[in-house]
Amino acid sequence: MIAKANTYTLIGLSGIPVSVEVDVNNGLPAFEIVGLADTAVKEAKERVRSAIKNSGKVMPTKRITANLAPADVKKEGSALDLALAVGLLKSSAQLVCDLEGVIFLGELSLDGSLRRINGVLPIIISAIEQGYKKFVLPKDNALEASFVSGATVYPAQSLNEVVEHLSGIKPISPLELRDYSSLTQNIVYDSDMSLVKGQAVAKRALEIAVAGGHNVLFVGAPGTGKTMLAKCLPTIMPDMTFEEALETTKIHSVCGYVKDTDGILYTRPFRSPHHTASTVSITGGGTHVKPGEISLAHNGVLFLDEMPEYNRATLEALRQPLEDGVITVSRASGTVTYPANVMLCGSMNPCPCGNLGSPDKVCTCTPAQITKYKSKISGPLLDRIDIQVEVDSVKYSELTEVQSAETSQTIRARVNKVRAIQRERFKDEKILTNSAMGERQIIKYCKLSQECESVLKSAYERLHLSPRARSRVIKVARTIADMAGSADIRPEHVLEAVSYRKY
Amino acid sequence: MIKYSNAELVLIWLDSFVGLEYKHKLALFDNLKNCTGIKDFLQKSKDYISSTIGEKEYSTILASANQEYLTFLLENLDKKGIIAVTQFSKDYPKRLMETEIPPLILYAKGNLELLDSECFAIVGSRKSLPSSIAIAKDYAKTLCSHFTIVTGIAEGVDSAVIEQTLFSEGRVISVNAGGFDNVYPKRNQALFDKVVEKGLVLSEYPPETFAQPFMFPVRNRIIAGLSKGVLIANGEIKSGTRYTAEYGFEYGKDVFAIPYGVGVASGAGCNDLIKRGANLTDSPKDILDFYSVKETPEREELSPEEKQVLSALLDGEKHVEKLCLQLKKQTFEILPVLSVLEIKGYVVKSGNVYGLCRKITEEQCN
Repeated sequence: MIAKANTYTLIGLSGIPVSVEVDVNNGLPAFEIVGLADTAVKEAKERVRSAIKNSGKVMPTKRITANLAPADVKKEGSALDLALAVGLLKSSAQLVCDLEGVIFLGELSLDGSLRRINGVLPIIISAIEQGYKKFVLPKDNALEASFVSGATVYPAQSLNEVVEHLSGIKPISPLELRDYSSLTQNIVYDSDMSLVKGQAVAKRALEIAVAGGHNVLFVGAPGTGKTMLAKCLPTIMPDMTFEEALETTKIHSVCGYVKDTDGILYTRPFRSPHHTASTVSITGGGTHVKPGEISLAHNGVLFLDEMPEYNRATLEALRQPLEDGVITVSRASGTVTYPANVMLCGSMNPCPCGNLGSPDKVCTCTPAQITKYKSKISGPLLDRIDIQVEVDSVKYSELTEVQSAETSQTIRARVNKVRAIQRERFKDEKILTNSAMGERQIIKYCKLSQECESVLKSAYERLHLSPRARSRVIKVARTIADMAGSADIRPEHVLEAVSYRKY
Repeated sequence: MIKYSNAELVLIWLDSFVGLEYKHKLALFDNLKNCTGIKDFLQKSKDYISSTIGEKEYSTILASANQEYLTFLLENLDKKGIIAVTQFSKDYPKRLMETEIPPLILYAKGNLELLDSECFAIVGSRKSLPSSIAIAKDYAKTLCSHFTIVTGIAEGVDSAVIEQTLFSEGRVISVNAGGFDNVYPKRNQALFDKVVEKGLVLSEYPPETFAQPFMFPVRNRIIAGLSKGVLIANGEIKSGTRYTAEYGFEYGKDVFAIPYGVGVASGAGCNDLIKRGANLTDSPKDILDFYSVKETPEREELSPEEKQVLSALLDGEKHVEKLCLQLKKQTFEILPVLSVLEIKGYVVKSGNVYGLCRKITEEQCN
């Protein structure tokens, strides 16, 4: 008898329905899996055999053929185990029930228990779009599905539980739908702006950067607190909306990074890959195209510490995703587009030895070394970093004079307001923040008075700003004006924007 | 093509042998004065050359002792737009001629008239604090309307002085250590081209020569020799700028130096010069007064906020945060004011520390 069980496999972030057809025939005992299965799926037969035996069922000593349809889609991972086992049991008449309309996901352990799998959330979201409603999932992963409305999720711990549920002996109670907003109310971050002492300029620059969605680069000697400041970035960013959280969780789910206790990512991700990271690990790729760091940081912060130390090619690969907010990775096995809407935050020393411009230490670098160090970050990449701010250590004696600093929460409240202004301004455009403005939008939304123009002109002449810095300064000035609640950009806004430049 | 006299032609020919040292060329100088051509010159100098530099070198010189090689040299100079100003030329600057070891030939590119003008040298080291650069620029800005500014072309003070002078539409001479084909540092090629266009570049070596470390201190004697006075904007105890000052002292030029605080390594050389008798200067006006040049000071209007910030900076450079605390203002109120002052050339930014780069009196702040 042929039995059919439904399951899913993932290509990128979209789930593809897979129908597992199992047939038990007479003949020499064998277990064949056909239908473009990868190694993990081929190995499933050993897991399924032991799991069935150790669950007190019988593995038929007959010729068993399992077909994974459609046969032209490459199936990967161990999530198909459960569907294979259930199909086999039904085909050998050890299970009598209707398997139609139920999606089975889960990896089997040899003792018959179910283990967690990667990519539950994107699969469920795709399956619901395609009309499926019932899911049987490993209990360890089930929380990921608990925020998706319209899904009836049965969390199971072993093959036996699944069998008893399907045959109606001991039905599993479906998972309750959880409310996202309850999670976001009491977010506790490890970092907080109030813990950063001094650094008023850098903090102000960070607030502007977050408010306008600008990428930011910290320039400063080692040990001045660049990393600490960067870690505060997510704490002042607006709370993630449910849609944003789902999108980000989908990507983390594919890599298996979602915490079992939460089931969803409700804080903005902060990814800081080491500078030895390969280009593929940042952009995404591999034989089975997996998301890279830039996608894992989607809706959050990608922090590149010691930016000039990164491979040049790796940095250049960031240019397109920074512009478009998505990254398309093409491999022989297929082309996948992952979202990559990140705020880039970089840090670097002023020169290789770190002492350039320091009043009390001597820089030992040659001019050629400094030029080489700075040229690691190319002009086109710098063009995408609107704010470059210097971070320098303040003496301890001066630190104690500083009054208690603002908390991240206070700053976040202000940021939310500025973001609202931008949403209103760009409601007819495809962009959300000031940083995303193109030349046409700059002309439309950033009208400069005569006075501003002359300030900008003299700043160019005196301070040797590069021509490409112009639109950056204007965009930042627009955000500063928004923060001040001013409809027009005034000279002081331009002047402040000018002070956040290094190159 | 420029017309050179016979003696000049032979000198250009002789100077193309970089291996032949200055002292040898100088020893042969008398033979040059009234020779009719290369052959004639060699006839007279044969004994000296072969006895001092050896047969082997002599044979290479001998092999090039023909009209073709000379024509090649001249065409090469002409193609590159270089004029060889020899000691026989009327264009050769007299002040330089009066020094102890004047170059035999000044290879020049640009506006030759500048050689005859009143010159003032501003030099500094490559490793300069932003404040030193700003100060040097302030001097260049004021002095360039009265003098031709002479400097090198290195990064730091030298190139900043050139940029400022060109920006203020002043006259500038940049003396290079190596030949014009090999501008050092390479990244200043664009700046070099600008000087050629609007000022004058000089070198005592033929265009193909690469700059070697020993050429830099030797080059500084030209900077000092050309100028009436020399300003040392900054420099460590062991810095190339010292040579310029030493030559300045030696040639009886007016040496000026900017004072630095105790422990500022990049200014220790200046303080040392002041100890040894250089004129202390902390404002471009000092130099104008020294030469009795009258200038009507331009009055720049300052807003009350700007005055407030300037007076807060009177007792030394300060971190933005300290300024905020002192003036009881927010960062975003202070930063625009500092930017304005930076644009107007009153303060200089080094990281988030701002300091004055111009002499300010308390009256100006009230």
